[in-house]
Amino acid sequence: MSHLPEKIEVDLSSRHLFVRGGVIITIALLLLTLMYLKAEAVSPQAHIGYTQQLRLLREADAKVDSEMLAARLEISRNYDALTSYVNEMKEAAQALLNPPTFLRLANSVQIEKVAAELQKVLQHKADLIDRFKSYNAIVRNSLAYFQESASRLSGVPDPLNNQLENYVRQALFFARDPDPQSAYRLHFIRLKIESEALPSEYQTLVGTLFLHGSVVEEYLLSIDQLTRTILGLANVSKQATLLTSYLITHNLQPASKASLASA
Amino acid sequence: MSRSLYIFSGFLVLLVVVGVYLIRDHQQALSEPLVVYTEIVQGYDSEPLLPLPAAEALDKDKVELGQRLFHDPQLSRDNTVSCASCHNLKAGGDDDKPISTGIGGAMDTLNAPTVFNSSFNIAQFWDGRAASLEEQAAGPVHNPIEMGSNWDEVLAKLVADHQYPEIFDISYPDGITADNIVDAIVTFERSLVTPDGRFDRYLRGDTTALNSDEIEGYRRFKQYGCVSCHQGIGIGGNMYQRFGVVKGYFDNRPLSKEDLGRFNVTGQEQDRHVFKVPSLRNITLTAPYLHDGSAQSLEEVVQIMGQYQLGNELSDQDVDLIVAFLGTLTGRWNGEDLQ
Repeated sequence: MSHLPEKIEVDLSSRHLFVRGGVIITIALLLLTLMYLKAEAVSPQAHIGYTQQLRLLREADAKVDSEMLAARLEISRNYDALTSYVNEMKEAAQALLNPPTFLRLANSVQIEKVAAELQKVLQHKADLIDRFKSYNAIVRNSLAYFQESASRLSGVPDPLNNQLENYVRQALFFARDPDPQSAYRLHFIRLKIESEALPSEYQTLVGTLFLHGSVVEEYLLSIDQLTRTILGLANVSKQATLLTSYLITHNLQPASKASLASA
Repeated sequence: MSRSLYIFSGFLVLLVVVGVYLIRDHQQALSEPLVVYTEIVQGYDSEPLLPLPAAEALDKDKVELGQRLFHDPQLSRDNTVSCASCHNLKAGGDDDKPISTGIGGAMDTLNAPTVFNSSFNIAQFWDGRAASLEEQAAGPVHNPIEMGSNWDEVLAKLVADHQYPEIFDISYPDGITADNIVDAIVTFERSLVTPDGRFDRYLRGDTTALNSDEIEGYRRFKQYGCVSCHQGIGIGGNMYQRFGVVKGYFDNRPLSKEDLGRFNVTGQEQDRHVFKVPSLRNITLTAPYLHDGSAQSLEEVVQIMGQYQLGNELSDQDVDLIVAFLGTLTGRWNGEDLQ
């Protein structure tokens, strides 16, 4: 063999190379085909659909907060938009309970669990929004009556007039910046005036003033607390948890790796 | 060697093509813009009441099927009660009774609300126990006092009917099922919208649509705070409220379970005597009023609202003007004024 012509040795060497190359290419082809098929198993549509629902939920949730504050500040004067946004939020949360089917069973169960926790928080938020609408309507109404009654106090003689004007000032201060101390002070002033004999001709007027003043006292602190509670719910962190959990499980899919590798 | 290089280069090109294909959809999703906040800002409206929009575009075949089912007493156990028995479309979408009657003359427990414009409600029933029309639709079929039936019985009747199987096949490939019955009825109910009443025309700028008393009634409706709860396109229907805000309506009255309202759904003390605020659309056609049908006239119920909800003893003139305004809320359906 060592005496074979040089040309034949070269031919043999290139044939070996060709065969080797063919084997490598065939293996690479098989690998690529396998990776492609695996990548196809991860439906891009299902993945995009789920991430879109996450985005829709985030948007709807933000719209709920924004519209609630608008209602609180009387920028928005009806609850149609707020009601509609709450529905959007609930629908998106419901849709997130069904993660894409390409996830492994254990991962899917984990995502469902996180999504269910999020839905529970959002349902609680929706219930609190219902209460907010109710309280806000009551406060809005009573504040209007209160101010209307206060505007008719001009004919009331002193010292009652002074006492009532002080009460009105305190009440309006409380309405702007409700806190328990102001509420207590307001309540105390009202009780003090009520304990004194009122001239009969002013009883109706003062009665209306106090009726709505006491409603404001009762509900304004509640609605303030309610607003803080709603804005402080764990919905945002739960959404972040769901998003992170989903992206991690999605990236753990062998098919996702294949998809990334092929990309 | 050079052939191998060619083949390898070919693979590289193939890899790039496949990669681009696979990531294309992801890129599209990421590049979609967020649209939210401008819409909210533009959505603010200084007017608390808004004109009622027309019904959404609906599948005509499903609406027709739903209409047939809505009027079909076969949905009840003894074939005597249909949805229309309590929601008469020729009488404002409810019945004229304080409390409706079901199969065998059984007395229901609450006043039937109108079915018109119900798709705009936050929830269905006085206590909001059904979150959607779909949830609501199955309720009366199974209620022992109302229709006293169940889906097995209803399905058996409809399958044996000489027309239903064919009609269902037009809209539903899987034929007659409980879900499809509900879907058809709900689709019909979504068509029961009554826009273009006189007040809607007024809100859209036709100042001649209301006379001076009605306009003054509208002004007082807003001034006295009725509008705090009765707002939006439904003029109510989009929130819950306690009945007896400033004065206990149920004090010194015999209480029934139904008087507890939403408490029966949530079990929470704050929801005691809380009800869905009813829509005032077509209100002149839906007497008697309140959850128990105890108020016979609009004048009476306006007085009650003033006293218990607003803390305002309304004068007779106030009541008359507000009632005059409420009369403008009657809308049109199928091209005709509701009667």
